[in-house]
Amino acid sequence: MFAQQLLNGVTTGAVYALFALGFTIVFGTQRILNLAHGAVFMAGAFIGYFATQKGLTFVPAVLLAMAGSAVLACLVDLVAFRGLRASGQLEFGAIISSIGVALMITSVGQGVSGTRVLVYPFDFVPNLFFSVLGLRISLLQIITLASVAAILAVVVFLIYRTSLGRQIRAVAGNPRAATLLGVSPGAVYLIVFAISGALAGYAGVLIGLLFNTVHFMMGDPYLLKAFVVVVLGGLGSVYGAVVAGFLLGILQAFAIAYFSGSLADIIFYSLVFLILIIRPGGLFGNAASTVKVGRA
Amino acid sequence: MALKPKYSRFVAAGLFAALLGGAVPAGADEYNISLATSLTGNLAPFGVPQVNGIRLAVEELNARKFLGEHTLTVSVQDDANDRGQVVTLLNTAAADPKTMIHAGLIWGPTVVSLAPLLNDLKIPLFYVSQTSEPLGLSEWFFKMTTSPDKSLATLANYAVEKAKIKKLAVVYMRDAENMVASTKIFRDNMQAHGVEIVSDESVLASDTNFSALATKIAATNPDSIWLGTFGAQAANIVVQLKRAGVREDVKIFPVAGPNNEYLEAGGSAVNDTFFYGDFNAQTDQPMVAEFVKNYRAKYGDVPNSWAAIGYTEGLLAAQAIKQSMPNPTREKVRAAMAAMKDVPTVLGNGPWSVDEKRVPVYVQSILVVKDKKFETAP
Repeated sequence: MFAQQLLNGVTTGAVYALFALGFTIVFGTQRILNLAHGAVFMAGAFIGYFATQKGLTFVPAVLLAMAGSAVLACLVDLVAFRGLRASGQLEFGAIISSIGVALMITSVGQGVSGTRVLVYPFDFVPNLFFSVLGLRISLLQIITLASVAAILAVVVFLIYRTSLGRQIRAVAGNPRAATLLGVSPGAVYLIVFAISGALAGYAGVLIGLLFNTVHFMMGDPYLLKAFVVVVLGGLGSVYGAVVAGFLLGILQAFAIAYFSGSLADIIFYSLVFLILIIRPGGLFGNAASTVKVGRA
Repeated sequence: MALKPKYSRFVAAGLFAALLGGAVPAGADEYNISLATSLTGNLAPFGVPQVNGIRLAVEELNARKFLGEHTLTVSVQDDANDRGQVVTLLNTAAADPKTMIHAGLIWGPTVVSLAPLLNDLKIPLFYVSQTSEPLGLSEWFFKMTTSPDKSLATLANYAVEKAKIKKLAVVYMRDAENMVASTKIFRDNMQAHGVEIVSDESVLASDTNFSALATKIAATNPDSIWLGTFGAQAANIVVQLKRAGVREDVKIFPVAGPNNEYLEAGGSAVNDTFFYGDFNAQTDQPMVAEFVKNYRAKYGDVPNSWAAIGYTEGLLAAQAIKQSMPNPTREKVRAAMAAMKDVPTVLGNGPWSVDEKRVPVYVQSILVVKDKKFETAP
């Protein structure tokens, strides 16, 4: 059972990492808690679902969900944050405005779904299982792990190895200095939101497929988990979010497997508490340092 | 400022026409049912179909002049599952003289907490949660569905005597008191019959990831599984159990009502799962078939058990008001509800009555899922 639960944990952790990465890059570049991230994640799952209802296959449906969520995330930036950014009231105002936008998006989700739980078609991803060294692994788990690994690699490459990534890091470090160097912070923020939304959208589709549920309230519990993941990983740390995402998934699986479902959260949050006592800045961060999209 | 004679004639004619148009026949009154339930938040999936159901019932009853010249109305408010909001809405309902009955309330602890206020306001209150405890705290409380001990005894007997289960895995929703209570009754019943509990796990209403739980249960190799969770979540757990390798012949007993959403969320994975039936949209009972047809026509969806509960609330409230005629008062309506006997509704497999403790009584049958349909279990 150990290896099987490890696989369960790694699969779930991969999606947590994807979701939390979108949350943390917005925080890392702009120092705002985008509490509408869960609603964008929900919207991605909905777009993917309705794409399947129109007969789209897996890849086009995923691309549509990612594109739709990216556009929605940009709208969130324009509606909820841009005005606050201009007025210099971003840090706390953003929390309230993003909650407002999240409620609006959630209400649309409720209206569209009629409050029902939606389910992706059962044959959307073939229900195939493989037996590898005594492990029971599904095609969906393989797709999840492979695609998340590829996406994480692309995002890391984008941030640390491209001109766009340099602009993002420059804006994260000092927006005024970046402006003097010819970088447009407004455009960079929009791009970061688009990346964040696309990641959330794909995470939404994966959660909808893996756990057979698409629901207008599905973003809330994942937002809380993402918040824990980014604090644990170190606020704004890309690598921290990824490592902490996997850690959360694996710890949850083992807590359920070897203790009880009712104790899983207690065990996990106790461990987070202990880690933060030892490393207040999280695994890959420092609470006192300037928050930025950094490697560690 | 005086109007010119020709204008004043128009004004007078207009006023006369308005009075005629708005006039109510002498002696015709409006009687209201207030429904406070969750239309937003995590309980909205239950509250919204409940509202749809009661609105449909009131519409149909008025169309066939169930109260004669009088009209039945329903006022709907969102309690957002917030205790403060629930109290406010109950006070508002009690302050409206047209309101004869207040309905709604899904969450058991909230229902219990209202007893002192209800004794003070003296308005009949129909609640939906499973606990029977409030019935002993105020004579103004009325319950919609039968008590879990009656329902679950039927299911437990089937599990032991017909399904012959020996090793049971238990999964229940720990943040819903009705699910905790139902699970305790079923678990105790099974243990009393010598069934071994091989796994006892709990989940939250917001949980969707059951992969670790399913793997753990599969490793205990049960021959049966109890699912004390709501419809779509129960189906989701079944799907993930099967993915984790739980045998196809394992008998699964969800407490959730046999709803269409369960079939949609579960697909072929939920074949051979067993229910006690509060509401079965696929039955050929004429009253249920008519309800399903009309609900579909109005809302474009198959009603689930929450819609059936809302519809039945409307029927029973109207029945109580009718029996309190002429000049119904809340006291008379309360007495009529406490004496309710053999009222045809869409709940259960027969008429709805209350016993001496005001616990609803109606026939329930055991259903099994076969190819996306509910059939009477063998």
